Amino acid sequence: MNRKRSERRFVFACLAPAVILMVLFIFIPTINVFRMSLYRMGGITNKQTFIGLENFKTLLGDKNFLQAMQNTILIIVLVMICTIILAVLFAALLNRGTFKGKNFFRVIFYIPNILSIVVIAGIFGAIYNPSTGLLNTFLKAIHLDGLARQWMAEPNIVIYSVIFALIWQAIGYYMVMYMASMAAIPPDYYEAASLDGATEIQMFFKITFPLIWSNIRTTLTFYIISTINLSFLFVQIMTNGGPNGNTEVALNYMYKQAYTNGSYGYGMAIGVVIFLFSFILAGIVNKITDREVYEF
Amino acid sequence: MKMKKVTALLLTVAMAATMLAGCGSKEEKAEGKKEDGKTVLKFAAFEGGNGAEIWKNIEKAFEEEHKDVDVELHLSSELDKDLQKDFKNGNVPDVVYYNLGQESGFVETMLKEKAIADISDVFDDELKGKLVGGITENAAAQPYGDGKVYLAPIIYTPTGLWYNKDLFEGANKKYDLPTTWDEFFALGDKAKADGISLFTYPQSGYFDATMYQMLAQAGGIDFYNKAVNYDKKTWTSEEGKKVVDTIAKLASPDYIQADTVANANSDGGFKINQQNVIDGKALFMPNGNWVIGEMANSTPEGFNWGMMAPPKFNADEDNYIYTFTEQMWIPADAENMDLAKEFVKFMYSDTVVDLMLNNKVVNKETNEESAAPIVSPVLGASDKLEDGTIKDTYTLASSDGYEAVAGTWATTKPIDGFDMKATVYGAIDALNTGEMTADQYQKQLVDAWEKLLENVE
Amino acid sequence: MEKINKHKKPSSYIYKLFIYVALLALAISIIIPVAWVFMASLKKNSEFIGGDVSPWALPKEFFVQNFVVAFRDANMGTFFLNSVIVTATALILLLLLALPASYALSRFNFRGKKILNIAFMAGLFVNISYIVVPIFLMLSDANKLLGVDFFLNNRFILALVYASSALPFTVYLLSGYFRTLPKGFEEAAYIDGCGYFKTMTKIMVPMAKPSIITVILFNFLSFWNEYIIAYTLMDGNDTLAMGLKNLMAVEKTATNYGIMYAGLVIVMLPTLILYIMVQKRLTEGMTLGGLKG
Repeated sequence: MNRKRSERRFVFACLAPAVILMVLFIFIPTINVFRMSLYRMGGITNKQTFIGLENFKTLLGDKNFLQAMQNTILIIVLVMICTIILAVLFAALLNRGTFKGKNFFRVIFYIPNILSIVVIAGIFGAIYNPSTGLLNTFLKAIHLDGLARQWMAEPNIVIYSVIFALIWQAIGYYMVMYMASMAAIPPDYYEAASLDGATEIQMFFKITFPLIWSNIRTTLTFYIISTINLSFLFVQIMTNGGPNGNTEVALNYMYKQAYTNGSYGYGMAIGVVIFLFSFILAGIVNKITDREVYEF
Repeated sequence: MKMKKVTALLLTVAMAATMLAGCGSKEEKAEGKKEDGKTVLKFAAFEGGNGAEIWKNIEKAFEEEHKDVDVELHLSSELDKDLQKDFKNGNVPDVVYYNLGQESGFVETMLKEKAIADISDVFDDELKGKLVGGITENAAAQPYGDGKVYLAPIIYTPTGLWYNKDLFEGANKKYDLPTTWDEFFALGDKAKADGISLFTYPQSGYFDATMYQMLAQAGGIDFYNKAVNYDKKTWTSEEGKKVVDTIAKLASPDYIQADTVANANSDGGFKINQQNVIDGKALFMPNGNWVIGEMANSTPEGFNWGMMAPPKFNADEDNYIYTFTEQMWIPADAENMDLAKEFVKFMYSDTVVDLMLNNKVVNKETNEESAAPIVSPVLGASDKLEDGTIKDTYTLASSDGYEAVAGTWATTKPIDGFDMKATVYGAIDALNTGEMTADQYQKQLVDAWEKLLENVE
Repeated sequence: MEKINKHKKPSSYIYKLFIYVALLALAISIIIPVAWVFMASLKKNSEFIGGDVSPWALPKEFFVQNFVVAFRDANMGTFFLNSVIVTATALILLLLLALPASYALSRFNFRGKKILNIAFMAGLFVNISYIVVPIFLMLSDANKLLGVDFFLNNRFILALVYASSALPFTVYLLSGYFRTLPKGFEEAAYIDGCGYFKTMTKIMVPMAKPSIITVILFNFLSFWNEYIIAYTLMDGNDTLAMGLKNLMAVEKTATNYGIMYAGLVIVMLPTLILYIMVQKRLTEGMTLGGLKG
């Protein structure tokens, strides 16, 4: 009995500081965001009037918001799919391949992840610039002028320019994660398969992929959370939503409404929607990817 | 309230922990009065193309004249964000230099929230008599149109279309300066044959001055006044339609330098668009004389800027020129209101007028100083400028056949989910990329005006 | 691995070629832009501007002056120190908070465990971008309520906020790792007479070293590069990332491309060096089960 009590005390002591800080710096502010979404209030002075769910009603008819949400969803989906494919591919190549420079590639691929967003935005500014940009001048140099584009202007392209930057930044991070779980697969699985005459590609689909599936599933939630956040940081510096709202994303729109339009309460309502959206989306994704997990 | 208590309690615990850890860093903050009995005047100024030096000089000059005052200068290139924080924190500056029409819309938001003080009493008859006529009689000084001045115009700049002067006069003259929109577009077709685009714009927001000018040009000052107060018929009227169609034509890929929109939407890319006028890729852009200083580091020696008024619709009209002002204002919650007003008044003194005229900016790469005069809206100030492009722009505005127009869109209550800048100017990018037609643009403006009118106070 | 290479089919050459093309393509897309920024930081303004300027041209001379100006303008010296202090404090706090919490969450059964697990999970979904202002207001109110000037512009508080914001992810990561350890270790320790605390610090935490390294690296990068919270809570005690943001804003008002890129390099360099130094550990840490779903 005594032991039980001291165990309880220990658990409490372990958890209390972390929980207090979580409550203080995450939950209370979040509750405040929910509360403020029910008010009309300015971005500078703190005058407030309670208006109930009015902000959310306005949101439903706000075309700019709907466009921003659409863009956000497109970005999440594309970044998630492309990054998974590329990160798994590169992880598999680096994990199973036998060639020189494996370590070199692994080191290089992670670099985008360590750079500050400001640096990345600076880099992509230099890449996408229409006349002196690295991309267009390169295309001209290899006589593919026809492929040169206004990467930051054309309405059908500009959002993909942002998406590309996001994927570029994310590959290394997830690749290392997948490599970690691939390294945990016992080598005899592959040996047995290759004795049976399986090709690398067959082995990938029959062994590697199923065995890292649970790890991929976990990362799906990360994609949702981090893409919502990163797309905001990228867009804020790279395009600020332009041209004509073509790259507007939810968080950036929230920011603009809260701070440059003087609609702070309305901005917080957008914040609430984004929070619920990411939560529900993660739940749905978790549900539909829920299938038998292969253990090893 | 309960939550506040819990929060406070938790924070106290955190603070106690910090104290124990001995990491607390405390800084003495000036609260109104300093130990030596001097009154502290908190002055927040935007550090933009005019550089930082001018504000430091003004600070010194004011302290010189008011020995019992200590001016605390807060200079920042992101003043809007700093102030947002300071206001929320209850650390309100006494006087602020930050103008309308900035990307952040900070002053507009302050106005929407009624957080700027009425300073009509600064502008007594004596001071008014000293100022350029009408400079305090428009919406950029009287945002609510109630006859009261809230924003003090301390800098004024005629705006127009900027170009490379040597292409239009002198030995290497290639083209004639157009005066009507028809001539303007004809020139565009000609220049196109030479491989030069007619027009570019740093960012779509730079269309503000142009649009005000065009409204006045199309329908006269009465029409302009109705338009900026969101008259229902603004954009469906013949005059309004003319403005929309001209902008749509101007923004079409036929006339706009191809990289314009891409640069306008990239971080810092507006300067590349401005550079394209210097480099001869585009003939004209809307701007003000600050562009000279802004681009000084990358302007080749011997390059000459020129500015003309945006074209007229008919040859026999007078030509309007939009005067852009930069404002100083006092927050409604300022602590030292009287002293702040004194400071605003000081802006129009001979001392400051001269300081501004003699302003210089430093090239960081070469450490060379170059003149970047700032012109105060005090009568006679612009006459003291050295001969050259900048003086010409002021002379132009006051010469025969030209009329000045100033002001800004009327202030409304905050409208949730509405973005004035994106709706009115941002759409110009879409006109260029073909995402929007002139008719759609017109409809968007009509809808916006309806919404704005409902929210005018 | 050897065995696969023994029976080489023609298709394996194509496969190999494919591998190299894919790897090189990605590597180049990373190396070139990053190297380009280094190169651009040494160029003079005139080398960026004009009709006939190629972005691929090498700098005419190494114009190191750019770095001097960037360093001075962005006040990078003091900011650098601030960044070091804040990042280090935040990392220590984070580990002190997260290790016991994750250990307790993953190795003990108690009432409310499920709720706490869900709470930490939910914390993952809260985005700092919208709670940063409420945090600021809370700290500002606390200052007023207690009549002190303590909670804002305080490096320790900033570090505390950093640590708290990283808690959900870190706890998630560490508890995932603790869960994979066999139960036997603790029982052995108890039998040897170790208390709970000693068992944790002497046995379990050392075993989690690879995961801890991963946590440190991940969070080092995010704390070091963070500027939204820093900007909101600090006023004077700026960090390096804020200095860079500010430099970019200043350079926007005049055309100084070289200086701007020099600023980017100054901020990028420390993280690059640190990363190259410890990169081996990073993958190791992850490989040793740090991130098992």
